[in-house]
Amino acid sequence: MMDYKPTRSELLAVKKKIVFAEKGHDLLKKKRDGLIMSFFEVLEDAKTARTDLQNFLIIAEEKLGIAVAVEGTFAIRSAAHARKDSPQVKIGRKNLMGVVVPIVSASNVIKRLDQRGYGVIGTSNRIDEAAKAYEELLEAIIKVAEKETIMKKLLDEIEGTRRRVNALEYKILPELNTIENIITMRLEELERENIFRLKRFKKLSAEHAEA
Amino acid sequence: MRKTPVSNYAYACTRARARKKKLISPNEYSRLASMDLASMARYIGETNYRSEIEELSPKISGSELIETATYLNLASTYNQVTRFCQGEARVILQHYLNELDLLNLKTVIRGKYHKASNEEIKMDIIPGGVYSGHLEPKWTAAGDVPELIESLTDSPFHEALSKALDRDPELNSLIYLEDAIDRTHYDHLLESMSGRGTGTSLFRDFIKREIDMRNILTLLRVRMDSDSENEWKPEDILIPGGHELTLEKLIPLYLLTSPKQLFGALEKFSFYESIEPFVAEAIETRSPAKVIKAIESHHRKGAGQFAKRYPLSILPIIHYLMLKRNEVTTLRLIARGKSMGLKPDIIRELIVT
Repeated sequence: MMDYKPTRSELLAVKKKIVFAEKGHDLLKKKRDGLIMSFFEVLEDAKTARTDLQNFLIIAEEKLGIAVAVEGTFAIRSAAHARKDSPQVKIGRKNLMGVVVPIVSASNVIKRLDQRGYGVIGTSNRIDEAAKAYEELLEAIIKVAEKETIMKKLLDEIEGTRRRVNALEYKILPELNTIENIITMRLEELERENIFRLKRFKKLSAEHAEA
Repeated sequence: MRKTPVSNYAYACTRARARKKKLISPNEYSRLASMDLASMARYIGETNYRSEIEELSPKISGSELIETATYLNLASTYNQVTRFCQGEARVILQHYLNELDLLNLKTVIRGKYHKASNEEIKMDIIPGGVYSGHLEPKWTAAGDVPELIESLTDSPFHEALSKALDRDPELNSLIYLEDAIDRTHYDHLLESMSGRGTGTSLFRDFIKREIDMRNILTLLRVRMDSDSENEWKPEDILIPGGHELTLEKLIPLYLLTSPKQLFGALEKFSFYESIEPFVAEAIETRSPAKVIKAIESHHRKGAGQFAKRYPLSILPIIHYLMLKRNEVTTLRLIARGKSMGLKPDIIRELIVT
């Protein structure tokens, strides 16, 4: 518990602190509730993105399996070497309830047949379908990465805010209230001592006067 | 002047027919699809693939064993068939049976383009053919794609590859190079079959039908892939010299903007009947897989009918080789499908009979 002096100015200062802490407590509670609402909104998007990712993964594995089965591993490994350029991922930022979260955008992920690098006459649609399925999977991975990073950042912020709310609610405000009570009681006690002292002084003065 | 020996069609066709009887029956494929890989390797080790399975089984196993053994057996079959053919028949087969070389040349180009090591490229080379044989020292010595093309001066693809490289000297992609190889393959086949022999003219007709099939597959893939415009000109990706689908007929088809329009325009061609049951599904799912499978099957059946109509020609030999290639593809499909965890139903659906 902090040091304090049982004075009226200290009492006023403590009361000011209590008002300030209560306002902060209300604001932080509102922020926490807002963050939780935002978190649940992102959670829904993230759940959908994760489900899509799992579906795309199943499709991509099946398409690759079919391509390897129909064309053989030699042809698939060979076709994979025909593509030189990689997808470009850009990471931007946006502010969500005071939390800086990433915006991930990707270019050059989904390609047309003429952009995949291999010739069209000597290859097959099975390779196209496997390549397309993995391109869609990669796009889904990027989306999930964005949503889950936002979720993680929001969770960290919610946790931090919750700790601050709890600290105010269960530690700082009770302590300040206790200090206020102690100072008030001490001041009242001083008041009573003064009254007693004055009465005592008055009584002694009266006894001296009679003598 | 050295005279080309007379073709021995009677002998060669009889041998091809005898070999055809030794092929695994299509009815067996379904049974193979429900076996595990070890049982499958044992099963095919008791057929024509015995020597390859016995040679490779101490080194590799599973689907890799089956894939490599079947490829080696295919290359060996090509060599044996070419050897027992004489004269015109041998010349035709020497031109036709360089598919492994085409695939391997593309693999080497892709490897050099991707800056893969020679060891990595060797792993992707299909056993059999000149690129795993006498041309290996040449391509391993080349540092990049232009050097590789430069080193292939005695290859039939050198000129076409050099032209394609001039068109895209920065090598932004390999599309022009790869399509140049395939187009040159068919150009050479048609050019080399300009003689007047019966075998030559039948084979030319067969190649023209194959060109038709390739062009339809290309059209379907391009149109199913995306409605948006691509960077290709029709003559870049279509092969001239088809039987039913000449370049003049193909270009308007290429310019159609939707799969529905394309299938509508294909209705007037002879193969449409074989693809009709799969058209609606292909338009809806934008996947031409079943249509392509039907076209390939139609082409093979057509070759079979011609082989019966001309029993003493190159066609029974070609038909046998097509069936052999399909057997190898199917065995690999079953083995790789299993190792990739595909369900038996999907594997059965993929088998082309």
